[in-house]
Amino acid sequence: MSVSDTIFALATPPGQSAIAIIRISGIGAHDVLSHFGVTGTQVLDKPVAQYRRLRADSSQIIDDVMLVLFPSSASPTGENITEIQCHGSPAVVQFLLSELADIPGLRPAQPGEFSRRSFNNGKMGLVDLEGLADLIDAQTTLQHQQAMNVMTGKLSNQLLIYREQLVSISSRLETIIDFSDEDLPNDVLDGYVNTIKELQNNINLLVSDSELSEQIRDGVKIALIGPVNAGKSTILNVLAKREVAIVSEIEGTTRDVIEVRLDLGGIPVILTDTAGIREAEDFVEIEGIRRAKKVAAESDVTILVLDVSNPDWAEMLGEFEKWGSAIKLVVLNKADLVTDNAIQQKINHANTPILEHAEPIIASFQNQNTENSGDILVKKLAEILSYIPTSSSDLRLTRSWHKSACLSVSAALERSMALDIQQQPELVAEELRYACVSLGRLTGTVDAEDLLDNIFSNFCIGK
Amino acid sequence: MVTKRVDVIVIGGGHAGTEAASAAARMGAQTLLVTMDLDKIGEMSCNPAIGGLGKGHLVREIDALDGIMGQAIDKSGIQFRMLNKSRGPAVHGPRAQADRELYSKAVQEALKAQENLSFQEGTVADLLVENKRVVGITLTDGSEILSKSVVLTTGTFLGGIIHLGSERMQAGRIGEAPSNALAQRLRGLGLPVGRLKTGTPARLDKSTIDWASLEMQAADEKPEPFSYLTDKITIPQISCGITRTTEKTHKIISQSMHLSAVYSGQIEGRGPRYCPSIEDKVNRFSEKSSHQIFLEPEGLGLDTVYPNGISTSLPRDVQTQMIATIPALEKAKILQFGYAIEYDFIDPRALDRTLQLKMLPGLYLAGQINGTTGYEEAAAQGLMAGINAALCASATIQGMQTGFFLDRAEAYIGVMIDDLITCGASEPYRMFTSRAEYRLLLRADNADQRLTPKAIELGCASHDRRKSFEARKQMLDDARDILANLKARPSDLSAHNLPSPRNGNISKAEELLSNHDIKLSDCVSLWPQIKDIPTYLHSQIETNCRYANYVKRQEADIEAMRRDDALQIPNDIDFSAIGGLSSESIELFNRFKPASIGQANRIAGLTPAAIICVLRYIRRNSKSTRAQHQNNVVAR
Repeated sequence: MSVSDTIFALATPPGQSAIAIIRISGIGAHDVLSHFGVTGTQVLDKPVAQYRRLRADSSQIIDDVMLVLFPSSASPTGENITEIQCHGSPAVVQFLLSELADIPGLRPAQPGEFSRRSFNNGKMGLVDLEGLADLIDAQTTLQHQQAMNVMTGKLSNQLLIYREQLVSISSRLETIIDFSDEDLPNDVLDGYVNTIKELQNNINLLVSDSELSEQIRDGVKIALIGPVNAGKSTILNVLAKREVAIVSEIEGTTRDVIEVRLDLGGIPVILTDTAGIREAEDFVEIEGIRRAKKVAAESDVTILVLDVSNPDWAEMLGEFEKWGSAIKLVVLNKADLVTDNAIQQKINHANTPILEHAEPIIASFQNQNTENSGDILVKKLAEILSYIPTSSSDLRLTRSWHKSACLSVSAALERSMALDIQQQPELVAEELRYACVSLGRLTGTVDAEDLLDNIFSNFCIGK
Repeated sequence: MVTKRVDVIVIGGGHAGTEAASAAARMGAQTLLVTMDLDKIGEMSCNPAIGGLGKGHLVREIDALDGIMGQAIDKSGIQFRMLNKSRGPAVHGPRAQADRELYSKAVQEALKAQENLSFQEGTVADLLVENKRVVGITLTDGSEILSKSVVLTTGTFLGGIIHLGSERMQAGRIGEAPSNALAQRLRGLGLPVGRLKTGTPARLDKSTIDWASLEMQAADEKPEPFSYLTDKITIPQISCGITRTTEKTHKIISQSMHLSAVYSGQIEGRGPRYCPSIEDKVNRFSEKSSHQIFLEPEGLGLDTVYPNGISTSLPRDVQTQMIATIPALEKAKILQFGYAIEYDFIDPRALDRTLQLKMLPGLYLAGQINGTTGYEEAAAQGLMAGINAALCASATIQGMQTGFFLDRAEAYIGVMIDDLITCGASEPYRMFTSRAEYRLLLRADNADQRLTPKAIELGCASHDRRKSFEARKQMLDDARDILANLKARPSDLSAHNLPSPRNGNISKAEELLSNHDIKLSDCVSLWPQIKDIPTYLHSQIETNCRYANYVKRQEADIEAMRRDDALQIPNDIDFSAIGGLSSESIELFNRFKPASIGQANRIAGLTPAAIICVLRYIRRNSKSTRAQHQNNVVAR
């Protein structure tokens, strides 16, 4: 993890907003724009602002944005800076961030890294930073504690195990280097490549798991879909009312979607209520289906709510089955209006795998039983959420720099395996040392470089 | 009664003392070397060998700073071997066995030829302290010698006790008196004193060994000198014998384990894990039925052989029985029995980066007294202590001199001293290449380029050293200029049987040489200019190209390390007054008392959070102190 890399980060809070700002700092901060089909940006001695269109692969339009380009001589970090002020849609922001991450020489900023660079380049004195800290201390103390606490529990234990394995491989290597004139057994290095490979696999797995967990940090997306009047809004209200930890209620940009942020058993959840799929005579409205399908595809959990008092309630099951969504759940609502037997017959008759795989929740969200039905649903959701591997354990890399540290470990291990251990053990050792240092940033093993990074994470996290 | 006044007094004539005395004198300080026995100056008390992995690097660095060890071993080495020769240059370890008489003779000659250096035989009884500074010494005959600074290199003499089975003898080395008065004085000063132990094997009569039956290990065909000033090794080279312990040997040892001084509980000091006694080996690795022994002649004309690998503190009769069970040693005559020695050392965390005692300015410590083991480690510290003692003596205002120190990215010497003063010594400290984070940069082959310019600037490099270095540097610069202009198209490379890049780009010579299979000599037909580069520089140039990318990657790390090392922690800080520190952290900070944030980083167990707390506290305090100071100014 070099200080000469170009770094980037979202500079505004995550989530829906009018405008989001992505900040890029480093030597390549201006040239990066050519990746989005933007050329001819001239920056001399003053910051310039331009309204430009960003494209992916020089064709697909990403967004129309305001670009602010700072030359190193007049930038807050003392390096070239580009600020992309885009529309505050999470999709646009996510797309831009993942495009940036794919550009060679660019990587997500570590906590406090922008401040750190300002300091290194003489743009900010320590006293300035101290003053800044006093101002925002109330907010950052908590965040800082959180950042420190991230590395406790199971993830930390797992990483410590990896670290131990790494140390063990390294030490075998150092043995053959530093004690080559001793009477060593012949099998010191036996199987070392496999050990490295296995370790690398485990670390890669942790990284891919973390992609799920990144969502979790923002909130597990749960969508309520179904025909109009099936009781979706009631369910939303019941869930929302039970939970005092509602963070915010925002009307989505799409008129028909309502998002509620709430906390279910400690897991942040974004509950989306879609407009109902309208039925006209016996055909299901195509536009309604299309929209619901899209919401389902973007959600981690989709709850299909059906009104069992409607004789055709089972018809949507076949359609729902084909939709993309990580986890599906069926709520058979208004069960008090029909007999259990009638419901069971329909279920048997429908013969859809979805009901076989996951037992539907039979509920009545309309009358005095609401309370009871709410309990059942919450319990079920909590159970489902606990299946999401990254939320059930602490095994998650919650921040992008955790991920990039793991990727750096993995890359170093990869390079180490490409080298000839007999002829160049010192280079293999160097790659392993590098892997140790990168892992050490996570395991808390103190290293000169993380120290100051952590200091600055006190002052301003993530930027 | 004051008998003499000098600038620097060096106490001890071992490897630390001799380098310290030479360095101080080279710096221009009037230096006096005080030792119990002038004839024993430069004595090899244990294994008659210099160098090895990590240690060889230290010798090259000592030489690059114009120390004496490199040239002394070049004049006395009877078996030169480059360890790890088949591996990358960063881990090559030059090693040579010495003729112990020739070695000490070479050291003594170098010292006698040194300007500004005089000698005195005597035993030091006390340190003279004035205004909390060391200002001289008192000898046991009552005479006082005044100085501006003192370097203490007592080796194993400080409170030394030799153990041989149940026998205990007060001694610094076998047959030599220890330095007990001084040991008591240091303990009386309240210094953190601990005990360490080390051991040595029996010495055997060469003529009683059955050499004909032994596997032999020869010296390198082309012995490579340690010193940049040595052109060629002219001493005849010998071979060593290799034998092994047997199950019989192990049986005798196991049966007599309780008689070993180490195992009977007689010894309190800790020994080095990497240099175990044969009792330790048999006890800890009981699954191993045999251990290797190198039979190293101690000199060309000497009768003694050093059996490397069977250091012991077993009783005399057991040693005799044990050695008789070893192939080729059945009839070997023991000339001197092996023994363990226990001695006082001062916790090196009491030192600053210049090896000066923090609580007693003017007093510098070097060698085993700082918890290290090995001639090379001792010599390297001696050299640094000698330079700093001379700087101290030449300071116009006492306490105002700037010290000379090396950091972890400059030299193995820097790694060692930083390790010692940061983490202390829980066992005798020995250098390994793996201790150096920047191993690819700190190589034996480039020690001169790393350090000789510093020696020249300090004034401790001789005229010859300077001339030789400048000539070599000029040639390297010329070679670099030649290389920088060499480029070739892929077709040219292929035409000369050199690998060409797949992307069709033009290759620079440096890029081509980063491939470890390509040598400069392979490129002569393509680029005839290479003929102008002297062949003795080839391997270094190839190495530079080969490691260039790795070294570049480390630059950011090095920069960060230097920044953290520059963030000082005040030594009067009260860690328990810092909010947010756990009791474990407070304990660690108090135990190690890191002088900088960089040092705190290197203390195992201190969390980033704890270090941040300390840093914030320091900043807040320095701010309020500054504010207070400003208020005072206004008030006046």
